[in-house]
Amino acid sequence: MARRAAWTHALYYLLMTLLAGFFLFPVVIMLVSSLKPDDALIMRHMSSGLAFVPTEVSLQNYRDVFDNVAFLKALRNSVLIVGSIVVIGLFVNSLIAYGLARFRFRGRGLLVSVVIALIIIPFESIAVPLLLIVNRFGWLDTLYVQAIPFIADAFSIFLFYQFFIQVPRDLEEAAVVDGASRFRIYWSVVLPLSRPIIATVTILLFLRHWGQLLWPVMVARSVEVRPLTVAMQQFFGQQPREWGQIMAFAAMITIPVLIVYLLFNRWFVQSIASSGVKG
Amino acid sequence: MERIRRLVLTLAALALAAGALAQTDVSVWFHSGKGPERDALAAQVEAFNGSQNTYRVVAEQLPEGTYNDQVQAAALSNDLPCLLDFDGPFIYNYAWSGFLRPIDAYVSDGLRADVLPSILDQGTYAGQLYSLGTFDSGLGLYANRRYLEAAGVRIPTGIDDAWTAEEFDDALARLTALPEVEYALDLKFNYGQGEWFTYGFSPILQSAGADLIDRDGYQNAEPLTSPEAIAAMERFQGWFENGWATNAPAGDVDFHERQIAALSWVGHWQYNPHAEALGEDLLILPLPDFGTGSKTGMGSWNWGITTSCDVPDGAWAFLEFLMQPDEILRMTDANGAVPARFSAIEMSELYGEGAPLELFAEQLNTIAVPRPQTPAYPVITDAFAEVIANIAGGADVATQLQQARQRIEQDIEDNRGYPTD
Repeated sequence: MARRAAWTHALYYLLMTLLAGFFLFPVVIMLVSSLKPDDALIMRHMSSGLAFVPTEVSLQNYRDVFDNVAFLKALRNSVLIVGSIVVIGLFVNSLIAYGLARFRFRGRGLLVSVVIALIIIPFESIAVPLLLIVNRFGWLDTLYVQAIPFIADAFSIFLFYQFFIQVPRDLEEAAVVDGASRFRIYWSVVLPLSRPIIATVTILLFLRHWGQLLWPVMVARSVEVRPLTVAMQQFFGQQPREWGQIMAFAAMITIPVLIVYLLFNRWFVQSIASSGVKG
Repeated sequence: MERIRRLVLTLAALALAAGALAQTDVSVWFHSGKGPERDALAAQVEAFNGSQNTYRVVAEQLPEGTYNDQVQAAALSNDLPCLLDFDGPFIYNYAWSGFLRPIDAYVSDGLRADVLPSILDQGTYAGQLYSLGTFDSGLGLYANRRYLEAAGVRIPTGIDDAWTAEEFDDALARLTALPEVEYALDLKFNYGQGEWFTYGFSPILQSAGADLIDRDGYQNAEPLTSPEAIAAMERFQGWFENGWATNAPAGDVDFHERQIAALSWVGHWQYNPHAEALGEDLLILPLPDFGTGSKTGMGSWNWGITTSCDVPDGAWAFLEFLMQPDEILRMTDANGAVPARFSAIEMSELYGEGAPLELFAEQLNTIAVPRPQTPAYPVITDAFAEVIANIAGGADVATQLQQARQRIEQDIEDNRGYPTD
């Protein structure tokens, strides 16, 4: 019996290792290719197992990226834009969701339905009208035009709303008895209980906007406000492609994503397990 | 004495400052291509700004991968710069959309006579000149002399002597039979489905007597489904079916580094790696003659002045500066492209008389076919690139061409024939 359990265990681990390897393949190829200084070599290896082997190790591609692109400026811009969306978005969206979850007012149900309906509207369909609006405001070619339109987010409101309606009212009623204001209850009672959903929203917002390309392409012109995704497009033009630099750039913009995920991983998994969210 | 010296210096400084203040800014966008090209343009901006006191070029480099999207977005928001560069495929749509202003009035007869006809053809829409490029592109066949000789294949000596279609098929069969050769013809399918397919392979249609569209009025794509077009594309498909070409090359190096292909159908940009790898064995040949003489593609990045520009004279001053032979050579020495003026070609080490790429310059002056000069071109190229990808994969040629024709004609109809009034 024990031997059978051990076999099952081993099989399970083997399967998991294979799956992990499968999902890690692109990341490994990216990292290994970024260390190969010869683009022709990268292309030759790409169709064989050598794509996973660092046959040559050099940081030349990374140096070339810094020489050819204002990488640090683009990184700073991306961090500022996405950081603003996440931090301000957490506050704004949770506050809206709290209001919808706790206040009783005429049209509340309709408002919730509208928020849910907004989730299904693809950004591409509103991009052009939004461009015309921000142009009238004189916001083009700024950092804030890349953040402000995304702070209020229907999906984040929905996630917070779903979470808040499950938070027991007893806790809040006790705070009311103690004389706490609504905002105080939201800030000091509800938010501390909401770490899993905060982590989930943080990761989802971060992932969505870290890789955002369409909107920055439409509104960011100068290198001063250009985020990483647009800066990377410098490598996608004339043939032949400089795959080594592309991989080095990709490696460097993937690292912040991994850091954010690892920071919030525990709560993210917890939230998915409890709410069934599929980002 | 000291007082007078100070006074003079102060006055000189004030005069300089006043001059700088009086300069009018000219906003310029350009694609940030590869390093040397980018550096050359940055140096040109600096040289122009230092050469006169009337205008100051304020240049912005935009990433090439999303350049056209950014231009489109800026056009939507009426935020275009005074002068911008754009790739060949987009010019007619920009001109038709009203983003660009004609520049005929600025171009002197002397300049016009010295510019390659391909540059003027590319920049002309509805009878007016909208753009000028400082360089053009060359397309042809690179060949490995060693393999041609081993296979007993005749080596053409010039455009008029290009291989016939039958000769070319025979050469492909013989070259593929060589033990060192895995497939005879590298068609650069690794570039992927896109503008390359149209730029690279529409000369087959044109040489066969067909075309992407009826250029008389640009209202139908009948030539795309003509018997000549079908026959030419079936021949093209045969290269894949016979194993003479592949639509899934392992990379970009089969012709020069690995030398498992004997011919490479590609542009001027591959000259340096090819020459380094093959040395004396490298030959540059015209594309085959599929019935009406060898044809080739043309076109590259070019400059236009926008309608929203309030200092078009300043924009032209910079463009005129870029069109000087020395400045053209500064750019083409950096990117390896064909200089746009005959006077620059004469001085070019790559394209001048007897130079290794002379053929490309000669082709642009004689047999190059411009992209269809219609705002429908983005749809035409998309449809034809899909045809190429599909027939290389074995799809029925006539059906594919018919579908592409329908798509093109639908677009023309949707835009009411792209009226020019």
